Amino acid sequence: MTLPIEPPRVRTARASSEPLLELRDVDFCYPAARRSAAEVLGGSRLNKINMTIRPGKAHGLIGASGSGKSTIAKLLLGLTAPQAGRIFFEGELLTPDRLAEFRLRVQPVFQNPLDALNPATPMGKQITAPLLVNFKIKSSECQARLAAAISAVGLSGEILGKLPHQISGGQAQRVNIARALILDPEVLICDEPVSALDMTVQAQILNLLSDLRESRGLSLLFISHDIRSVAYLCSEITVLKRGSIVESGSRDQVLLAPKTDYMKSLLSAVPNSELGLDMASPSKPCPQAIGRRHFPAER
Amino acid sequence: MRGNGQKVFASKIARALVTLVLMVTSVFILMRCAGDPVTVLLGPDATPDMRAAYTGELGLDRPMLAQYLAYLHNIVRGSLGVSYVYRQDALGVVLSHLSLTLILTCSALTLAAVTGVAGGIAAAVFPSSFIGRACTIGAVVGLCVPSFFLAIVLMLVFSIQLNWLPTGGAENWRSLVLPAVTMAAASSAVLARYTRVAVREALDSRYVLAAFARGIPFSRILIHHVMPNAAVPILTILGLLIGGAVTGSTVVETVFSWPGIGNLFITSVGNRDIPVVQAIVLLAGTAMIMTNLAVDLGYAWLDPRSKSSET
Repeated sequence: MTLPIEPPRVRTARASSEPLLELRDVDFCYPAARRSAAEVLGGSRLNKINMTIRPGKAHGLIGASGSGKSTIAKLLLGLTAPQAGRIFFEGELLTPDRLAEFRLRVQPVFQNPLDALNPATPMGKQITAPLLVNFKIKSSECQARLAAAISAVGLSGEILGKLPHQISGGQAQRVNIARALILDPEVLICDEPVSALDMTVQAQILNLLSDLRESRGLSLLFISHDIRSVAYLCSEITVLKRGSIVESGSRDQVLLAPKTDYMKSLLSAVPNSELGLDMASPSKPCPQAIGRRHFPAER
Repeated sequence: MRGNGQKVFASKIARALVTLVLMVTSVFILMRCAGDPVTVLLGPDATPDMRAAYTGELGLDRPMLAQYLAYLHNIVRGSLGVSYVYRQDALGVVLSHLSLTLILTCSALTLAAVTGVAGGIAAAVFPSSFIGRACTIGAVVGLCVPSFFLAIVLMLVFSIQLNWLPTGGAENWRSLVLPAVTMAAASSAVLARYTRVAVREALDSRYVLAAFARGIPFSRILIHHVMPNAAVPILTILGLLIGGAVTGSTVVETVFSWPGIGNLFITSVGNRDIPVVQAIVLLAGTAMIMTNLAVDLGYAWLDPRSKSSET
């Protein structure tokens, strides 16, 4: 396999209204052996999940622990298959024979950054591994891509020889993002990417994701239980409760005019000032955090 | 980093030396508590004069401290005394039996390592398949069945019923099969269980999930992500098995009349041949200490995190 395109690229051709990644009527239930643990968390199954990720947009997925957020991430990454319903990528049904190609274009960023890195392998090798395994690529080009990837996430070359236990959580999450970016993906599935980090580093990572979305035209699925970070980063929001979608729409629709008591109760726990909402003009198109260099929740 | 590594190495060597000194002392004291060799060797009909003369000849009439210091002096000089029974250098007697024990233990350990690790990986990767379940059940059975019982069953089936293999001795490779399989069974079961747990834990980790999501093939994930991280507990168990193999063959050697160190040990204990018993215990202990040292050094190679966590 050869590398199809030169990164980084900004994707503008696709109309932003056309779905890039879509879940249609997806049902999922964990096998019996793992169900009890999931049931304790109140989210043993997903029911009729319909969700769309559009090109170049950041889509937020909010829900309490055990509501099924990470399960949706696994489904979207092709790591598990739904029991009912279908997943579409670029309008075509995602089938097992398309998974290999799909996985190069949809990349994950996981919650605990240090857990997502192989403890026994230096950073440089971890970042380039997906490239070397999936593509026939010259060493010089690999090094150029590596340099571009670590530069894009604001890391220096010194980190490449280090092992996971020798770097901080923030650096580890940047390495995870660089590892995803080196394949020049179209979608990043970020499963609670900042929840294991302290406030300052959270802000840095959120700003980095926002910048990458703008500069590369990346689509993001940003999964979090923190409404503030979702409000900061995402233009579309889906709210999940016990495996079912209870609310979905644009950022303003969901945050300024919530329809369900569940969403209202979630919002009541966070002051509007921390959400960065413009209460006076709720119908105004939601901002994509352009130009904001701080995180509202930072204290 | 390099200085730290040298410090760690020096501290491990120092610990190994202290352990060796403690072991030598314990062997000396325990063997003096195990009974009078003169009575065993001369029999109950020996006269007091004969007993006194023989006690003097063996050096057992001297004070305990003098015996201990002489014993230590001899060890430093590389001599472990003269066998009361063979009338030869005790170390020479032990070494003459060592080659056969090494052949048996190396064969058994190789068999155990290959079947145990492969079975453990199969049980972890395919937990619900026939192969996975068979490996898990095999490991439980291997752990539960005592080696003397397995040896007798194998002898009954393959030597007496089928007449394929000899019941004992060490004439040719056919004599090796049953003792090696018997000895490997328990070790293989232990290795399989530890390997299954270690590999399963690594397979369930986030970095493996992340590797799957990046489109890395399963074979590569197993070799580059799972095995390096599962290797430390497997190496620990393998180290213990290797260290214990020199004396662990005692029961098997006795049942199959394999003329190795295990057989010599049993005979020498019965004869109160203190120098030979001391030599065997010292050799086995040294093997265990050296293996543990090698395993500790192997950790640093396999898991670089251990370098910085060592003190």
